[in-house]
Amino acid sequence: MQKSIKIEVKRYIPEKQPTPFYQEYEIPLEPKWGVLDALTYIKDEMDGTLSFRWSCHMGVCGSCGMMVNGQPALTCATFLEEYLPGPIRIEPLDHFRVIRDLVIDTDDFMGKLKRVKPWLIPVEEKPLSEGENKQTPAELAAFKQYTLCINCLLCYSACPVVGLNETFVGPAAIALAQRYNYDSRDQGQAERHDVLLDHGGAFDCTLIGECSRACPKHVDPTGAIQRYKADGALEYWKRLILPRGAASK
Amino acid sequence: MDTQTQAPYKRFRPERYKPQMALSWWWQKPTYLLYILRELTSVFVATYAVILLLTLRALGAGGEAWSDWLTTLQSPGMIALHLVILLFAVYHSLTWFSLAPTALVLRIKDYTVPAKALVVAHVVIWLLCSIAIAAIVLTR
Repeated sequence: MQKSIKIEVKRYIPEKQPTPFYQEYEIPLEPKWGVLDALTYIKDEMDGTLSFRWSCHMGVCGSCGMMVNGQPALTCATFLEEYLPGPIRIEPLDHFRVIRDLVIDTDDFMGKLKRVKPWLIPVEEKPLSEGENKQTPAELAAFKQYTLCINCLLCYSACPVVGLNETFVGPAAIALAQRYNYDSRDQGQAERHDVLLDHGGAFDCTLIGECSRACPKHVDPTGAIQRYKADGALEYWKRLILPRGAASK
Repeated sequence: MDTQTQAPYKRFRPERYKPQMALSWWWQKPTYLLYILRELTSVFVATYAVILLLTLRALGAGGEAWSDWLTTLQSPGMIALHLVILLFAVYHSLTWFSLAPTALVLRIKDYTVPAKALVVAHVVIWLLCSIAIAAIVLTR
């Protein structure tokens, strides 16, 4: 029985050297450890300078996404046993700027997310006195899947378009735009069309499908984007042909 | 699209390492390779369209040009090319139909038609159309 496993971590320490390098750690192989437990062990027992993000340790916070042997994964939900006999190579999520070691800069994503306006945009504000906005189970089912996104950014790392085209708004942002587009309480489609029909919008997606394979929450951003392409193409022609303001409100 | 909604961070450690994508990215995962092959099918489909146009031109020129063109088409090289094109066209069609459910969500009242059923329906209709066209062309 194997007693230890080798972990190769891609490190970036800007004050030490301008380019990343790999560092190896040999850690004891505990049967039920996740990759995140291994990193925690390294930080606690071997090398306190190692930096990485984590929070909930149960696959809902979306903080601990990293490349594990070249695949984007939530390290809390990825187990050492799956990679025997090792070594396991851990790198920061692909296509993101790296701040330090395994910590990526999410500012670009946050900016993109904000642009698709992922919040309810009602035509008129309903006063609180009129009570809640009711939805039927069918109306909820129309968008519920897209609410499960935890912004872990695995889909951005999986997507070559994100890596090749910096302006692409990306899988999660479009899935979250669709989460509101399909919500019966929302009337903000026109504002989101402005972003999603533009350069860097949904039509920059070339349908590789890797985002949906990487998604730990089965949100299916591929589906969200393709469904948007169908709606967006219709909207494009409406805007071209119909008089001003007659297209979707 | 301008995605910059805030000024870049500058205060304490503003250094960022920007990773570069390898030119061979499409070779690094089987799913990427299958995607690139799917995109490449367009080259073969376009090649066939050109062959079809040349065939029409030869038909228009009539007589000798037409029989010359038929001889060219029967050369081993051309037959091999057609087989390759057929292979890519079939792959193109299969991937196209298998992706149909990503864009199409069919709801009948509260029932959502499963993705597999949509794919099977598309493939069956495709096969029926192909057989019908083959029957018309081959029985004439």
